[in-house]
Amino acid sequence: MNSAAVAIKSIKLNRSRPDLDDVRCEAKTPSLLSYPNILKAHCSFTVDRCLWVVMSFMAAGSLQSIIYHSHPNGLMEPYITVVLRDTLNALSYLHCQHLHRDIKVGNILIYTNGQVKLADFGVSASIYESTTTTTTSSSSSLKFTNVVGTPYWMAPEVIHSHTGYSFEADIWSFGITALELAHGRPPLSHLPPSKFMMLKITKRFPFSDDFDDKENMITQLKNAQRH
Amino acid sequence: MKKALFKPKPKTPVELVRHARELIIFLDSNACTRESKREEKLSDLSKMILEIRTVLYGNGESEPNADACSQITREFFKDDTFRLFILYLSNLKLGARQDATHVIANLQRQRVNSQLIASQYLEKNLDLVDMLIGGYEKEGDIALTYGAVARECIRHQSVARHVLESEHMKKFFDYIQLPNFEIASDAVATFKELLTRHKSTVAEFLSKNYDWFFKEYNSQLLESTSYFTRRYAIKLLGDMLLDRSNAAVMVQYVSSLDNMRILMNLLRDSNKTIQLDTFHVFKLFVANQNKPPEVVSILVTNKHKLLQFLDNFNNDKADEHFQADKQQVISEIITLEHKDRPCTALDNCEVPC
Repeated sequence: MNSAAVAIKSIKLNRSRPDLDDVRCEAKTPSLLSYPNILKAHCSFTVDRCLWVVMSFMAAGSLQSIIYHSHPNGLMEPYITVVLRDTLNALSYLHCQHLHRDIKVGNILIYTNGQVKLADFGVSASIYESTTTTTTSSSSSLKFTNVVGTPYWMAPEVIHSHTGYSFEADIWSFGITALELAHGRPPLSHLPPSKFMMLKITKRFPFSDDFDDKENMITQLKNAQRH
Repeated sequence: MKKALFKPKPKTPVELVRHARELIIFLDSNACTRESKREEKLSDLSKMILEIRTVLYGNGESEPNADACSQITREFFKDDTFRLFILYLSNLKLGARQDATHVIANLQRQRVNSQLIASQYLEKNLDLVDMLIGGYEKEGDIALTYGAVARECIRHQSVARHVLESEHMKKFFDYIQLPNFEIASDAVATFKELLTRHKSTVAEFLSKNYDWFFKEYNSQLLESTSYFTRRYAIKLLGDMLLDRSNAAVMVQYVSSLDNMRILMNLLRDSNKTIQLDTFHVFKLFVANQNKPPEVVSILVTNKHKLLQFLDNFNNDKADEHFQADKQQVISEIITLEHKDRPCTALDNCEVPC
């Protein structure tokens, strides 16, 4: 039998969540996904009032902890390019079946060899399960209406959820993640979440030009995508 | 390698299904074919399934074409391609299996000449449904695939009736308690669908099978040592009993002293969610206008403790319905008197609250 280091995510259910369907989703989704840039769950089982989800151990931890401890002002652009490429690859695969709905550096994990994996499907949604969608007939008219995610990374249409949102919401969060990688924090994170959400609903606000060489970075990303 | 001068003509919806069918037949009957050839055919099959899925769901930019969907649906059910598809699911790679699951799900909803032909087909091929439900006994993620497909099939009342009347229902009590959480919780989702979707069929099933079903439900689920099992079970019990279609079953359930003992113990659960879901069932025992004497006796004996408990019992959210229900339960308990005789020490009828 092979021995391998694993990570166990323990979800305390009597405190954290009222709805066990969310938990079922968190356990089930990663076990049904098979892609190099997505963290796979090996199995899950219950221990007392906790759900233990057994996953591959990502020894280098999350990008959030790497940035916090070693790069508080953000990563260098070549590294950002690699992270964004792999995250986009993961999203491209994921969007055939799911919305992630919580893209941020805290949910991007790094293996010791530098491999990037997207994790945490606690609030993800299947685009084919009729219980989660308002339209089930086609993927073009698909809309979700429940407000989920983390405020600083949320797309405006997720907060304005009565209008519905779709795959673009993940792309917005991906853009915020790019800024977070460059700065070490998401835009407007100095504001409390409630004030931030009000601002997002009521006003337009500018994002600064963060990348020194946007053209070059986009070219690198495109090339990386091809290989 | 030379590039083809012209792109191959795109396949029609009917051709897509036929080609997928041919590939499955080839893969199924040529087990000894060399590995590279099999891989190539399997890859082709995955592409076909993806193309079929794209026709049925649209490509993200355009809506699906109704005529193309009808053609695909007809073709699937014409020559038993649907059966081949389901039987071959376990041999597909994970991505293709997911796509195939979505195709099967969509086919359940497709109408041809305003008829759900999937329903008619499954009525004549119920062995497929048996195989899918039996998937919970299999190892690994195929159980989840079969579970997802089974839930789509039981959208049809005739299929749900078949499962409810089969021996599968007894096995669900085991499936729900499997150690693998993904499979156990998937079994719960199917169990819930079976017991809530088709109201008249469920009411008939519960009436006919009341004794064994609730005996198992109480002992295996509500009194389970597993927090998860109890939490799922009490929520589902509330959904069943509070459904108007199950009024007769509800009256029968809330007239039982044993059932009330179980509920009163669940009211003491340390988890707030379980307490809350239990309250919504417990209130039915109290509201029952034809309470048997033994039920009244227990309520009267525990009157002080129950009132004390309810006084401190609150929903975290501001919920007017809950407050109104709670007040009604309190009022009802206050007015209760022993119907025939008080409990004596010998009756041992106090339930610790």
